[in-house]
Amino acid sequence: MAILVEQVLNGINYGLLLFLIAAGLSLVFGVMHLINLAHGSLFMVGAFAAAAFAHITKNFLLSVICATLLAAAVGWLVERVIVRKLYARSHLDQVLATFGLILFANELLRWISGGVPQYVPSPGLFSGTVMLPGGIEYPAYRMMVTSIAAIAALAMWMVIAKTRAGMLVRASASNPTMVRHIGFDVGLISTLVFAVGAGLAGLAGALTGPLVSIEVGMGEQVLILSFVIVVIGGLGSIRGTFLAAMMVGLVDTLGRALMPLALSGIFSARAVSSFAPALSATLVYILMAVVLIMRPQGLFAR
Amino acid sequence: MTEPVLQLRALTKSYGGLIVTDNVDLNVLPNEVHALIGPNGAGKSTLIAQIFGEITPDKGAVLWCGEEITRIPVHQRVRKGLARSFQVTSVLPEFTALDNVRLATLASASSNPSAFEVAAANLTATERAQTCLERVGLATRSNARAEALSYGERRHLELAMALALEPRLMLLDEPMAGVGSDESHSLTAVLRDLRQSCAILLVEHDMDVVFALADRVSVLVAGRIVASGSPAEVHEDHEVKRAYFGEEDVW
Amino acid sequence: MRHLEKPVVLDLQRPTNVAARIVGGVRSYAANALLVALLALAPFLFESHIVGSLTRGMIYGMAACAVGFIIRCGGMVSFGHAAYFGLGAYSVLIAQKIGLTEALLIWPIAVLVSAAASLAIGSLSLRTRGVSFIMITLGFAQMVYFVISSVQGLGGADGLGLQARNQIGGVSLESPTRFHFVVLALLLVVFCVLSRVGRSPLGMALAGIRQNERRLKALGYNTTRLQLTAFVLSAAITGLAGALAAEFYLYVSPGLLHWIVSGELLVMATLGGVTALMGGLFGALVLLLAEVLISEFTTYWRMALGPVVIVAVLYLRQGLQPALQKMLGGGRD
Ligand SMILES: Nc1ncnc2c1ncn2[C@@H]1O[C@H](COP(=O)(O)OP(=O)(O)OP(=O)(O)O)[C@@H](O)[C@H]1O
Ligand SMILES: [Mg+2]
Repeated sequence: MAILVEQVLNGINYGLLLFLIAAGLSLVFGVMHLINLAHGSLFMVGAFAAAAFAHITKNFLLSVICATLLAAAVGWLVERVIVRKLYARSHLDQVLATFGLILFANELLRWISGGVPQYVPSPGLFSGTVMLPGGIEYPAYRMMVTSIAAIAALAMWMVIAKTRAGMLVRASASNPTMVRHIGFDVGLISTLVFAVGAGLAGLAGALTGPLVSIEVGMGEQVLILSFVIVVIGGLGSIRGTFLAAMMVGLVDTLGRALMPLALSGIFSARAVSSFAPALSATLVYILMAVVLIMRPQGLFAR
Repeated sequence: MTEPVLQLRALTKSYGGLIVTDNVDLNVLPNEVHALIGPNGAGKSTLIAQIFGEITPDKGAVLWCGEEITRIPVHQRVRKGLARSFQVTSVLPEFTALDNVRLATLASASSNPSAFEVAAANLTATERAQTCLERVGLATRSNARAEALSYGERRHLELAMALALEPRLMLLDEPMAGVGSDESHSLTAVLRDLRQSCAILLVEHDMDVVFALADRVSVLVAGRIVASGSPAEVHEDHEVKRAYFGEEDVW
Repeated sequence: MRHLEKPVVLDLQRPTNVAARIVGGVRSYAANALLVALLALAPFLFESHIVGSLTRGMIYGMAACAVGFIIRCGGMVSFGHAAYFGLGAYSVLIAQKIGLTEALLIWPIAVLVSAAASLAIGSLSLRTRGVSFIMITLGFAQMVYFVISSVQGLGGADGLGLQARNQIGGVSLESPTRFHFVVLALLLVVFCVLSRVGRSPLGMALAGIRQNERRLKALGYNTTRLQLTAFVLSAAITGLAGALAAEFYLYVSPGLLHWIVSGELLVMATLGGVTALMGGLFGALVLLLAEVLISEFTTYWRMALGPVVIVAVLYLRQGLQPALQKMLGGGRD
């Protein structure tokens, strides 16, 4: 029972982190109709930057903030220099150019980091566990990550749904010409949206750092999962992206944890240890296949 | 009494709260030109798309020669003898005019395009395509790429593609939209020729064209058929004048 | 969702004047013919490691041409062809594990395995179009990657070596020269098939789908089924290329299934020019050449490749093969 609760919490944690990444992808697609493969690289930049800043500042929170800002700045720059030339292009061109960006970013970070995985310890304050109601112990760091990610997700939703700026963003998604006519700079809005998406991905990367080993290529793993999420949730729908991210986070986490247990009732231990990883890795994609069969436009498409 | 080729029964479609097709009953007889008129946003194009199968209605039925086809895919409807033209010109820009039409004649020749014969070597398809271009007056332009054609020529090409399918019913969504008066005359002549071959459901804003061609006229306002009858009857209908044209008489 | 349907715009400049077309038609094969001649003569002209690079280039070029084919005919941008490439390679490994050594048996099996996988993945992915299609093909390919790399019997994440190159009708392919010619011959067969299909009614309909799918539907084509046909054909060819890659490296690892291979195949196809039948081959050879040259100076050769790709996408819109052809004074093929 305790293990189930813990895994569900882990699933929610993972789902929220994935949402931070997928939301940026979805926003950028919704507003600029751009498919950005390099979005995962911004996640990686966030993780590496946080590790470096943590090393310098010795202050976890400060390093997360710096890493988020750095990722946003990189996003800003990349949008101004390259990405904005791609808005009017075919999706094929967008895919190719952003693939080029990934190659460059990966190699650059491999060069800077010397190709060795980096490990960041969880910050001292959160290195222990917290006691949850029902006597379940849960790592304090994960708890904090869940809270920060939830706050960021909520803040983003509030901005988009309730503020004037969010209204402008939604308007430029549905009718850029109209927004231009009432005197707003659509180019600036695009840059801002891209930078905010980059910042969110960077934040996710910075928070993920202490949970995993930080290495080149970590971005693509989450990028592909984010694509699955966006497809399941329905392109351009933030609400759909959120629900799909939670589904994917839970299915993936629970699958990995529970699949071996479930299978060990049926097969020998040896068979389980060779099949369970393969099977649990496919669960998310099976989910995607089922959604495609039932609702090809995504669960929450407008 | 002849059986209609097409019958709509209580067809209904809404987007969110907006009802774009409201309980529409309509039929088209063989070799009849049935005009569908109505103000902008009345739901004419949406109705055509439902008949053609591009949009699925929420309720009601589409009947083809008495057989229900409400939910079958577009390509099967075309096999049964439906064809359409688009309000916004829809041709293949990289292909020549001839290839545009040849794609249609090849399609009607076999339901499964062969992978190993050479398209250009199919002389029957090519000849038929050439004939269709002649019928719409584009014979001299057959080797021009579609993107190099003038707007009016592309509207003609669109009709040639529909014609090449040898349909029993053509759904024409504003075939004259945006063309000048010269082109409009030549298109009217083409339509007059087409009506020899098949029934036509014609969406058109140009009243001169409607009165020159139509056997029957139905008026669609806010998704509902408010009047239907011979052109003269519809012209006289008070209800129509009010709903469609506002109080002042624009005729 | 109108914005999903951003069609792939290809810059096809075909002279409309008949005389120009005939002259262009003859000359348009010049670039292709030169390249094929170079490949055929390579074993007599170059050192063995260069010949090896060219063999490898042909193998990747075959896959890249298959990727380009479904862009040109069908408007499908697949970011998952690594799956079919890798499955072809793993088929060779498995076949050898169960004791087969006859290439004429093993390669068709590899083709069938890739085709079967693409039939399943393609029919799911083709429930969407545009961006979603790109993302889904990538997703399913990643699934294949995970599954295969977690099977310990196939070497897990490290992969496994082959005992030896398979034989054709008892004739050994150990000699690099002989293998080079076999690959070249298969490549030419692939070009014949793709060229023939491209000019067929099916190919014409597929090219139409790329330009305006709605119009093709309205002409009575079952567009999804035609696209699936092209997708499976493309995956089958990619599977053959994968089998040849296994024979070339004599080693099979999940690296062949990695998503980056999908990306590289797309880059090769577009760098060479998707409008051209042999564009993928040009792209593959140029890319491998660049890799060889740049890695002379640095192990981080991809750091240079990234910007090259970006610049090529932004400023070289047609691709190399058509550009080369223009230089040689011909029209398009
Ligand atoms: N996918 C959609 N979602 C929401 N509303 C839609 C959609 N498609 C059409 N509508 C609405 O349905 C109504 C009918 O549109 P339709 O294009 O059928 O009108 P129409 O009679 O063809 O007009 P026009 O004469 O301008 O061509 C319009 O108000 C339009 O805004
Ligand atoms: Mg309309």
